[in-house]
Amino acid sequence: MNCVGQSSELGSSLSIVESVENVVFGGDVRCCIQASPPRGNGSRNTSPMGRVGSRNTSPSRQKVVKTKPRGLDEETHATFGKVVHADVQMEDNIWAMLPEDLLHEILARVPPFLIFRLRSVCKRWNLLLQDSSFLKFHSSVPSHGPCVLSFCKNSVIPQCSVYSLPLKTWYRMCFTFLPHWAIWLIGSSGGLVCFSGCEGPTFYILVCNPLTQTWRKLPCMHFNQQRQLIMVVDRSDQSFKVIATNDICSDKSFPTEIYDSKEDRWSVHQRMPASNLCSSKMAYCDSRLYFETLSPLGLMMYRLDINCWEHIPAKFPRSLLDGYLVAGTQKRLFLVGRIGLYSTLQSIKIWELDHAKILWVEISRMPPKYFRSLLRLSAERFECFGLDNLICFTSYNQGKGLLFDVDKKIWSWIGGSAFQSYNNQACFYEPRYQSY
Amino acid sequence: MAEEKSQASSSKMLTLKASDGVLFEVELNIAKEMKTVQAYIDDCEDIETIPIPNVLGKHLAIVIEYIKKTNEEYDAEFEKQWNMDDLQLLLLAANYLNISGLQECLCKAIAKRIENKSPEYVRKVFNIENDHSPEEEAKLRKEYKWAFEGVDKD
Repeated sequence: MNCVGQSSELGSSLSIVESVENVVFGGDVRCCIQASPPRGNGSRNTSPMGRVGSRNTSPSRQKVVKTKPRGLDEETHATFGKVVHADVQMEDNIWAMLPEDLLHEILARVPPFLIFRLRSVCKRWNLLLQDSSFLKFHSSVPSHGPCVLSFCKNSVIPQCSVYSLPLKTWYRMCFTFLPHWAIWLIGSSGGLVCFSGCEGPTFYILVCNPLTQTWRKLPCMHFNQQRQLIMVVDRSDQSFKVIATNDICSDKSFPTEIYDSKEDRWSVHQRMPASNLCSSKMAYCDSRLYFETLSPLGLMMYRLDINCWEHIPAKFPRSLLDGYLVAGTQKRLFLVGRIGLYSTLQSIKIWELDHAKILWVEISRMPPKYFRSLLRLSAERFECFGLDNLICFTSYNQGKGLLFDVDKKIWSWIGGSAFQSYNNQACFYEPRYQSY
Repeated sequence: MAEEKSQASSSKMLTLKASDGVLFEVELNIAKEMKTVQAYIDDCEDIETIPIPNVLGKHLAIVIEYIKKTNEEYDAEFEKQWNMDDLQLLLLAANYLNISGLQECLCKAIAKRIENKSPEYVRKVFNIENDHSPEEEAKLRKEYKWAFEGVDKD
């Protein structure tokens, strides 16, 4: 068989590999780099070393040959320099033997942001990593992990940063592909991010995928105003929905409208039979949308399966202020709020809804040191949002993010400066390549 | 023979022969995790020694150990002991033997080792020649310069 690497193009090396797959190669294929593919300088060493019939187990062969153009670091010293066995087919370079489908499996597990970096490895990878079927495959692999998206529209240019929790790094992703009128971050789901804004007198909503830099403006609602909005993606169905409820500025109620991406239109449903919303946040889980209401007291729940509102008479915990509703995994619903304003016992507590008993059960309390650090002044405002049993707190003036893992009961800070602006908006974001 | 066959199948032992001749005696239920071996058994019921021509004894030992011990904790620590070459050979072994759990674990591990590295490092690992022109590469880097921040040192 031919030496892998006779051609300088990885493409043709791969075709040689494919024909080699069925050949017995079982020997220890690490070898000294005596026959690395040409790199534009230096000649190829076509030593018969490692061919059938030669046997070399000398330790002196463990040194790396200096035909490699770049100096090798310690890692590759350890990598290359093993004993060569005979009577098996030898490959000059074990990595070139990697079948294409395994390469895809590996690359599909590289976090979405870092795929961009790998495009500059070579032309073949550049093409592969933009190929729509590869990107679809990448999207199907379990999520890289949650990120926090921080968006701030100062004057003209949107400042947007994404903090990857698994990689513990901020990425200043480019959001200049968005139209200038998109200034309000609605939220994110399944890799899509929803924005709204006014173009002239008209209120619009758009949905985008920051990784592919594609976006789509939604048709206007029947009652087209700035309303309470939430976007949810159904990955199994390859679609998303946007739910619009009441007017954001006043308590004016409109019939609930739902946008379905498969039909590209809004449908009109029951008006929410409640007024006096006492919180600016709503939560969606298990095909249900939840709002806090004062009259009637408790929660208003919109069921997407039967398209109607139901009242849940769950009494709020005593002396609760600033209650945020946060959805967890499956059916879990959390209430996050401050208690004890103007008192030395002020703190932030987290409750979980017991659906069966219809009451809020306290599950955690922010430790005083975190509370003091997050909110220096007792009456400061904070923002709160969640994903999959992670709850994030941001405070306007402190420019910090605080994370709470509900399951592990661990509190941790998010470093970096991206929360600094007072008009910063944030949400959780799970990067995925797929568009809908 | 009949008495042997009437024993519970899980205690039946099978011999696997690696490419370098090393023999491994494993329980049937362990061997069955390797779908390639399972297919072999399905085809020839009475087989006792199965040749594994593509995998060295050293790697087959690691694979068998993995199958016996795999759980979330073990998997998380498993990949740390191996260098890149071992990971690749183990991946090829897992692929040949058709052990999806191990294959997934190894793909994740390799992805993790290259994910935050520079393109130069990745080229070294996969022994790929950079066929971008300097202009093309500069253009790519500029277009996605935010993705090049925070790169690990090689």
